[in-house]
Formats: sequence, structure tokens, C-alpha cells
Amino acid sequence: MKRTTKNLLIAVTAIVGIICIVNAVWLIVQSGSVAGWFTDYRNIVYGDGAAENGSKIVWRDNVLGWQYFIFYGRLLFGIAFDALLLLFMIKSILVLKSGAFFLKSNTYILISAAVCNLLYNFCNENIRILIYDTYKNITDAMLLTPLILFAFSLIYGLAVRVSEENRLTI
Amino acid sequence: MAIIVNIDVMLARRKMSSGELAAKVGITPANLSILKTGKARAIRFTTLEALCRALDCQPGDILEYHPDSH
Repeated sequence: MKRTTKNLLIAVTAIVGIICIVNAVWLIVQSGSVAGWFTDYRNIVYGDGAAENGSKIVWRDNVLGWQYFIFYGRLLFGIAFDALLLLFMIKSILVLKSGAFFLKSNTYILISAAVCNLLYNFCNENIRILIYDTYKNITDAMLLTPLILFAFSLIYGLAVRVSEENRLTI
Repeated sequence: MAIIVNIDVMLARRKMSSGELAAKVGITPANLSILKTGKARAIRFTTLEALCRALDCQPGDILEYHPDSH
């Protein structure tokens, strides 16, 4: 692999790493603030227009199960998605030394990331249920990036097979 | 795989080691081992030519077809 391409890949991985870590920390701080865990600074709101300044979660008995799923799901699936993306990038770089470019395990990481992204998007799109008495929502926007990721994982899987075929051609 | 690569037989006849053959053919000992153990998915004509030249043999001397062994 050309040195410039390798250096570019390392630089992109570093940027992705920083973004993922910052995003994960922000998810924890944001969730903790709105849930009133470790700070009373309620000005950290969920997205644009999801809640007014100073809103706190209103736990309602009739939708408590959904509220728990959406609150903890957004936090956990969001962090898992960031972690999986970072893992994918790091493993891709580490494997370069051996001359291989595509790892079979990375295919499963991408599929897992697609599932996490879908669930995170669902929780994120329905965040209003934590504060307002509203209905659950499934939109086309929440399906787009997971589907793209899943399609990419299928293409990556093909690349793994072609790469293995090439490696075992003497 | 139905195609068997009989390099060991030719190596014994020519009294050559695997390492020597790998060096003459220009492939790594690991790749030669992949060929010998039947794990290879394909062989390039250039590699086959180099093998035949190094072992002074025909492709039919090192490649065998067994339809029952898939």
C-alpha cells in the first residue's frame, strides 16, 4: 500500500476516533443531565426542538417500559455504534502490516454497527416520549444510514471473499 | 478440491528440499506449503511454469485430477 494512502488512513482513523469519543462522552453527559443523575444543569436538551430549555424526563407509568428503552437505548446503542466504528477503523489499520486489507470479522462489526445505528435512530427519533405524552414514530430517515451501512457490509463481505481467493492463488 | 498437487513426489525424485524449490520458483515457503497441502484455490501459469522448470517435469507430473475428492 502506498505510504500516502496509509498515512491518510491513519489520519482519518484518528479523526474518527476523536469524533466517536467526543460523541460518546456527550451522550453520557446529555443523558445524565436530562435524567438528573449527576448534574442539575438542565439546559442540555435533546436536539433541536425536542424539549424546551430546562426540561427534565417525566416518567409516566403507562409508557414506562418504552421510556426506559428509549432513554437507555439511545445512550447504549449510541455508545456501541461509536465503539464499533472505531474498532472497525483500528482493526483495518492494524491488519495492513500483514498485507491483507479485508478481515472477515470486520464484516460482522459492520453488520452490528448497522443494527446499533438503526436502534439508536429509533430511540433518537422518539426522544420526545421522555418529556411529552406523544406517540411512537418510525420514519424513513431512521432507516437510511443503517441500510447504507448494511449494504456496505455486504460489499465488504464480497471483498473479503475476493481477497481470500487472491491470497490463495499461488 | 479435486485437483491434487503432487510436489512431494517430484521433490523426492529430484532430491530437492521445499526451501530450495520455493527459492527457485520465487514464492515463499508458506505459499509452497499452501500448494502442497491442497489449500490453494488457484495457481498462476507463471508459477506452474516456474515449478515445471525447477523440477524439470511436465504439468501432468505435478497436477492430478481426482473427481471423488471434493
